[in-house]
Amino acid sequence: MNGSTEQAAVGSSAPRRASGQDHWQLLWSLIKVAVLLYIFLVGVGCLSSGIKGLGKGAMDAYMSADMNPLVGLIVGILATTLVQSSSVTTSLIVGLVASGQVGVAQAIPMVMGANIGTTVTNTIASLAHAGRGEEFRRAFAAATCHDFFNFLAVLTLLPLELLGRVVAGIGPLEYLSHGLAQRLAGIGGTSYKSPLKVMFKAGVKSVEWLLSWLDGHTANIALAVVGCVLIFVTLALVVKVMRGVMMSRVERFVNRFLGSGGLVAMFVGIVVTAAVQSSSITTSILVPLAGAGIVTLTQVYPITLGANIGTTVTALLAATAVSGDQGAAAVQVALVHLFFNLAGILIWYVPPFTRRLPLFAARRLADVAVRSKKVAIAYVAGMFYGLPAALFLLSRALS
Amino acid sequence: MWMELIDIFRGGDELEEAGNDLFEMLRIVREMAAIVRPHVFEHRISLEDRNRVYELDIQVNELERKVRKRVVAHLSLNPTQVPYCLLLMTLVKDVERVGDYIKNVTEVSDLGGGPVPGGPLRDELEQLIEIASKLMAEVGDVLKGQDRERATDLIQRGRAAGKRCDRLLVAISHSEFGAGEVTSMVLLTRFYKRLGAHLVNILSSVVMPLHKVDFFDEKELK
Repeated sequence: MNGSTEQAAVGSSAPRRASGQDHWQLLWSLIKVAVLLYIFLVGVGCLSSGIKGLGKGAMDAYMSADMNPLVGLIVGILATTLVQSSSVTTSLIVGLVASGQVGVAQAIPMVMGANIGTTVTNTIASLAHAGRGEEFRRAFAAATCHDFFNFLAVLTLLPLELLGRVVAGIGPLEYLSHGLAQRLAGIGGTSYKSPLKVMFKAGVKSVEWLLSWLDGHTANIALAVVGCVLIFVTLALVVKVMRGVMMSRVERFVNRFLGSGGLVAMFVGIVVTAAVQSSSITTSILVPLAGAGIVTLTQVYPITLGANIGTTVTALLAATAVSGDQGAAAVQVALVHLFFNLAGILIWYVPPFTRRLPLFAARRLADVAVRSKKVAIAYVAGMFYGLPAALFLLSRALS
Repeated sequence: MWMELIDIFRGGDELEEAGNDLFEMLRIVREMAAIVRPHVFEHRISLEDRNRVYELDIQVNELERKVRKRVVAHLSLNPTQVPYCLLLMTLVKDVERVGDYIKNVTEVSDLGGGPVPGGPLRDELEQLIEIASKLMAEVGDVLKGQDRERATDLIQRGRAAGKRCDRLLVAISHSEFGAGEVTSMVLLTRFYKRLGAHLVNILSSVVMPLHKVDFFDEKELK
């Protein structure tokens, strides 16, 4: 129904249940998403192929093997806050790992940084409520509980990962993901030729052919750039298409199952995020609902965590496009993203006493932000842009 | 529960559900009115019936909150069909008020009202209650069918009844009734006048544009 011609009447002209036409629209949306995902996976292939073609050491100026993990974390944060999508960042990381230019160990802090960076979107969205005190308090707390979960997860799991490397030569996330990636033959970089991989390869070859008029080095750079653009654009379009499809489902969930408990809420967070390929969408739609008082902070938290898990699907999907020697590494880094979030939930959600901490921090920060909106703006600008940028520049200056 | 959860991903229209809730509210207030109707003048409603009226009123209030929540959730997530949403918010409030006035009718004796004596004033009140009952019986169907002609007719009858209520109140003030009888007559007249006015408000949504719902533009009624 078009906004300008809407009929305000209860009865015969009221909205109707999903009809056959709606089902065709849904099918059409799914076809569009399937095509976009194909192009997305071709983009991942182009990126890894382009970087690979540049030769060994091509990325050393940016991401050397002995790169400080803190710098990796900051790169992940900054890259994600700039593109406003952890799905894009993790897909790029998968592409880089698949090229063989970036190791899994280097990529792990970047993946963690992407998890932090993605939370900026809903925090910015919550600032739209700043004009109305109580509404802003609820909206801002709902947004920042995601931030605090990710801060706490990184503060716990990154030191553990580094400690593991010092003590045993391999961190726990790297170890777990390595074991599973090796077993997941057939998903990424594996020996048998699946028809899907043949299709992706054909897509990459087509792009390579289009760029064949360029000389070798330039062609590889162009291939990598085209890969990045395809990843960014297709994910943005998938989000746009699926947002419309999922919104009424989210509405139904909010109306029917919101009080059903954390597990159900987490499940919905996973499914919605996996469908729209963006945790930012899921967490951002919670913000106005929280602001309006429809959902409480305690109800928002598990949905947010579900969104964190759901968003890992994109990197796993990206890894399926990778073939060759680095395929297992690509799957491994995608699994790191999943395991990091699962471990974070085990630590910061499952035990009731730890669950309180991110919620407490979000409430306290919201209390302060309500009193001074400048604090809210300073928090967003400082935590997601200023501080990471300053630390990054400092580390570059010191190295 | 998990099957129901999967079912939410099959889609559907939450605003249609909210519309259904509104009609359910109208059905419940009609049931409340039917329970109360035989006891209006004698105040001999049984405890069981009174409790039932209270239970139904709670259901109406819960449905009102449910509709509001659905509307707020819809507008927060997907701000389309805004006029329809605003209309729902207005109409549920009117139905909830109707429920409240019916409940108030059962409380007249608690407020010092005695049995209503027979005579022309009671006959007039009886006719006014009959008109309110008629509005109540028809409002749901008129709303569902968006029957402009019927809505216009009922609105005019409802408005005329409102004016008769005002005249009746003046007549009661000049009557020879005792305090208890006057209390009953005044409260009942007032409650049914307000009840009828809220039903007329609901009916006005069929003929008036959203910004004029609750108001009566004679040009629109013609």
